[in-house]
Amino acid sequence: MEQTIMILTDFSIDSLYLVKKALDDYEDQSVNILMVHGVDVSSYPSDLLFFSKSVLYSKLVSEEFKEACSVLRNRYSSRINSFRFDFFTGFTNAAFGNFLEGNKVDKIYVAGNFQSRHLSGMSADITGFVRKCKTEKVEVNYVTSEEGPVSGQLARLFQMNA
Amino acid sequence: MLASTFVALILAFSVFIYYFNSRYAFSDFYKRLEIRAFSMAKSDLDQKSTADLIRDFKGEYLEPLHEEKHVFIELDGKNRDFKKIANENNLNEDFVREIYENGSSTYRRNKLFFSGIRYDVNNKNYLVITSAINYYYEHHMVYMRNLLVISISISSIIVVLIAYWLSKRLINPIKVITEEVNLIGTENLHVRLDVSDNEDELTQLIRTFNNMLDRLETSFETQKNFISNASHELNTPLTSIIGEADVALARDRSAEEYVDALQQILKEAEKLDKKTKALLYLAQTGFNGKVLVFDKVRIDQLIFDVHKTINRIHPDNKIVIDFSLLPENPEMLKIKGNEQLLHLALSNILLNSYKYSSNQSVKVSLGLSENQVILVVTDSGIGIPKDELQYIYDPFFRASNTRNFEGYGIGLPLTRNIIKIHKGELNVYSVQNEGTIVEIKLPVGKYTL
Repeated sequence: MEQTIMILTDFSIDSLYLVKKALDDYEDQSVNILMVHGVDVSSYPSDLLFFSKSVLYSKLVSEEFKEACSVLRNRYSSRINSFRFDFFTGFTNAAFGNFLEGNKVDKIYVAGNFQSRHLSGMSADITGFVRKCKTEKVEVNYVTSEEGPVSGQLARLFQMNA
Repeated sequence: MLASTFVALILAFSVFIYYFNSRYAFSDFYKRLEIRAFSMAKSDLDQKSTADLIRDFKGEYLEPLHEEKHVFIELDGKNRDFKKIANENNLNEDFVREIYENGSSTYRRNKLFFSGIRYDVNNKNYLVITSAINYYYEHHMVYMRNLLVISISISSIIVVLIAYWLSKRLINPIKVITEEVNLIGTENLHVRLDVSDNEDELTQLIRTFNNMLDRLETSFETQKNFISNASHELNTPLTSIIGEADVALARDRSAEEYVDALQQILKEAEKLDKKTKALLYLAQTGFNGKVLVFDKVRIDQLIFDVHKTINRIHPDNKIVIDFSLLPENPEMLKIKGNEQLLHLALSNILLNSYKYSSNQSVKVSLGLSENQVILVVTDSGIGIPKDELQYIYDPFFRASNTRNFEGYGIGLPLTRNIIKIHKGELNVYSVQNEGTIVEIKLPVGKYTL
């Protein structure tokens, strides 16, 4: 049975530690990875009209991050069934529940000390929804290095100790 | 050349327009005159009823022309003296004859245009001749001619300017390149030409130049590195041998003392022998002026090889190879490269990490993204001061905190050049007293399995 794992991300290389952790936990199963970032879409008609996930994606996601994801996909190529990104744009617990149901999420990985970087004015903290939902969740602590020499660089991926 | 072609083209075009426009103006005007002649004939010579009709028509639809005149000449059987008729009416004899013979004709005297027809009514022959000045030709054509002359001169100026600007634009960058390349000599081989953002042929040329300089610099630095290393390494045991022999020969000594001295000399000579052999090996593996051969290189195998080499030189090293991010399909780790050079580059990096971290553990990690092999070397050594990071690729530059370590300041520039030859990328991140992280990205070879 394929498992779908949702991972909260702020598109930092540090947050990919959760992916590594999740894949190490599901040792012999193939999984669908769903990376989710919360965004707060304002209700102005013009904002709603021009809201586009692909534009937001190219704005928020750095080349380094894409490359790091690609390294992970190569590392676990036989076990990653799919690897995709999505934005959660809702405001309520019910909406989040629907989002989980629609994506058939089996488990959520969230950082215990998750401090989402506010990448753009639109980023929203959705850990509150995660805490309240009924889906099984795993809290993982990892050390973020905001000041380290390779903060935000691809090399950071190789520094993490699983 | 380009300019004169343009001007000739425009000139030909203008002449063409002028010629056809004037021809049209003539024939058009003749036609108009002819209509008038017909209508006059009808109105003056025909029966009353139709005549009225046409006079009304003329008054209503045809505007009077400039100096419009109508002449009616009755021809009876005897009166066929065209010369006389012509003189009486101030006309050309040929013109009058032609009207009579052909039924109609046109003729021009300077500004005055004539059109005539033969009109037969009530068994009588009449010649109806209408004349007027072609106002349109007189004024509009001159205006158009002036206009064309002016526009030709303006457009020629513009064309010349454009041609000048274009040639400047094309030739200037080449001039700049020539000047810059001329400035680069053996003493400043690390200087590169500025690469502009637009992807045109000139940028490609600059890139080619820069690549060539990379290759040149690498081979230069290798030579220099090799010679300074070699002379230093050979000199040390030689000095010991000479010193030992000098001391032994200074005065008479006992047999044991001679044996001691000779053993010392033998030891140093053996060292020298080992080193010359090593140098020979280096010369054989290093590139010796031959064309670089790029072949399949398994990067994980390369790491093991380098590790083995370092183990031989420094058996006490704590280099850890971390393959936790190695892709499941190791076949993809093949890159296109020169194994000797990559070996040299990687061992440079690892030896630096080993040297500057006072033998703390050094981690080598390997990963593979879609297009790149990523190699990360992490140490927790003395690091590089932040404001000196930008100079680390300058040959012979040594950071201010490296005084206690031996070195020539050549390893990193050489390594970067090797990586560049392989179209890769070398990044160094460092915090002083915390450690250094070296990231090497090399394009995947895309060998089919």
